[in-house]
Amino acid sequence: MSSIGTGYDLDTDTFSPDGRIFQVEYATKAVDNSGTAIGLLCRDGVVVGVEKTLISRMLVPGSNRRSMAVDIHAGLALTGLTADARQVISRARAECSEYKNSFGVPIEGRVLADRLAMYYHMFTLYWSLRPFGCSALVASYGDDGPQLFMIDPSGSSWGYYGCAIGKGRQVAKTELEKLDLGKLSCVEAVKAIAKIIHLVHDPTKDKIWELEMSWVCDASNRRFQPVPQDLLAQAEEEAKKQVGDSEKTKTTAMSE
Amino acid sequence: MASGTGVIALKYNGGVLLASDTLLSYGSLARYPNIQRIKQVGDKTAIAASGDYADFQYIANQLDELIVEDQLQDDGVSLGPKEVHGWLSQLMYNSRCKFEPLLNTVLVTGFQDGKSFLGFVDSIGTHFTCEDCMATGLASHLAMPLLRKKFESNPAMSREQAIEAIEEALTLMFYRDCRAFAKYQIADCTAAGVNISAPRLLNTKWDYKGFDFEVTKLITLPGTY
Repeated sequence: MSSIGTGYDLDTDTFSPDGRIFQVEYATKAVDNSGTAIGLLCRDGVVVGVEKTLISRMLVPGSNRRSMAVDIHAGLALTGLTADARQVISRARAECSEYKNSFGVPIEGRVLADRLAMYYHMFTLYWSLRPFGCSALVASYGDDGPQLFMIDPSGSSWGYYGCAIGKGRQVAKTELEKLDLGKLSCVEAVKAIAKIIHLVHDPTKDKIWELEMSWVCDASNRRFQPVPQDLLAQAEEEAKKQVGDSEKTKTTAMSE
Repeated sequence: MASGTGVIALKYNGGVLLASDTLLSYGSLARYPNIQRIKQVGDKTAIAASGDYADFQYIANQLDELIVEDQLQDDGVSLGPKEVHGWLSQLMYNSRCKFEPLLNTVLVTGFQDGKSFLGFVDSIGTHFTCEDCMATGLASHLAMPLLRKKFESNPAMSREQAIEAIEEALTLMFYRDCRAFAKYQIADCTAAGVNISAPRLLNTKWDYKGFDFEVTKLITLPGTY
């Protein structure tokens, strides 16, 4: 647990005596208390999955997306405050569009990640703004090959083979390390992510939830789009079996 | 000022064909003979234009941006030929109003809601849809009568018959239009999507006695022939 930042945690432009920016740390807490998101870099693409906790059984399945395309070949999956996530997506779309207008080619993964990281970071510099309460997984598949980056509220961006954010990230990271990272196929990754998210999901805390997965890979013609319904349903079936019978008896609202 | 000559389109039973040659002229110079002048827009639409090619590239880029923006919405609905035609007509008309016209006449083809679509937009923003066939540039004088006759005699023609008609029209255009070319491409828009063919050559006939060197030579050099 962190120490109390009394006095030094009111504004994002204030350091604490031990060199911490508490507002950024609190923003990260918003991410850490949200549903788990996992990204996997595969040999033929990138797959991202988000554990979407739902507030009501009456929500239309598949609505309130957490993973969205920002360009034909790139997309983000975010966890944390949904409204903040929408802003980041909006900015990412503008960056992709501007880049294509300036340079005539689709933006590369690391450039997009860099631009978003700079954007996130900007919000940690001014008293009048607050940091984004969401972390982004940036997935792209262009001429630079499949790329996966993660950007946290502080504005740091790192490239990953496998990355987990949100409340189940500790367990998820352990599971991810068991995989043959970078060498999986996207279909295997879909099943792996489905299994890990079902594993880390706590049915006592979040009774109704939905698993949302998107990918950008050879099978999708290098377009960022939702994983096909039948593959997702199959992956969830296998995941539920593997994770155990105790998971099956709990009520979950699945996207049909 | 690289420009393309007329393009033609013909509806058939189950789709619509859009054809153009692969030449960009620089005035009277046949400068770039291997250019694809037909562009696919999204999943369902193909466009081609006569006139200034730089303006056509601008139109193509604007349409690409429009399509990407629409696809990012991911709402299960995508822009079809009708929407592309409508948007393009506004683009061209507004450019004309600003005294910066896009010097193109565009044909928009596609297949949407179980029907084939054929639309026309010119540089002053005149736009309409066609039930049968359309041509731009010089082809509107050369090819349209031929295409109309073919369509009237057989409105529900098959794809093969339509291709035959188009090739006949393209051959006529090549014979009679100084800025036309014998290499061409045809785009086929059906319910299955858009398919743009590889470039191929027209079959043209030049073995007329009137074209013999013996007949056409201007002088006889001593010691030769």
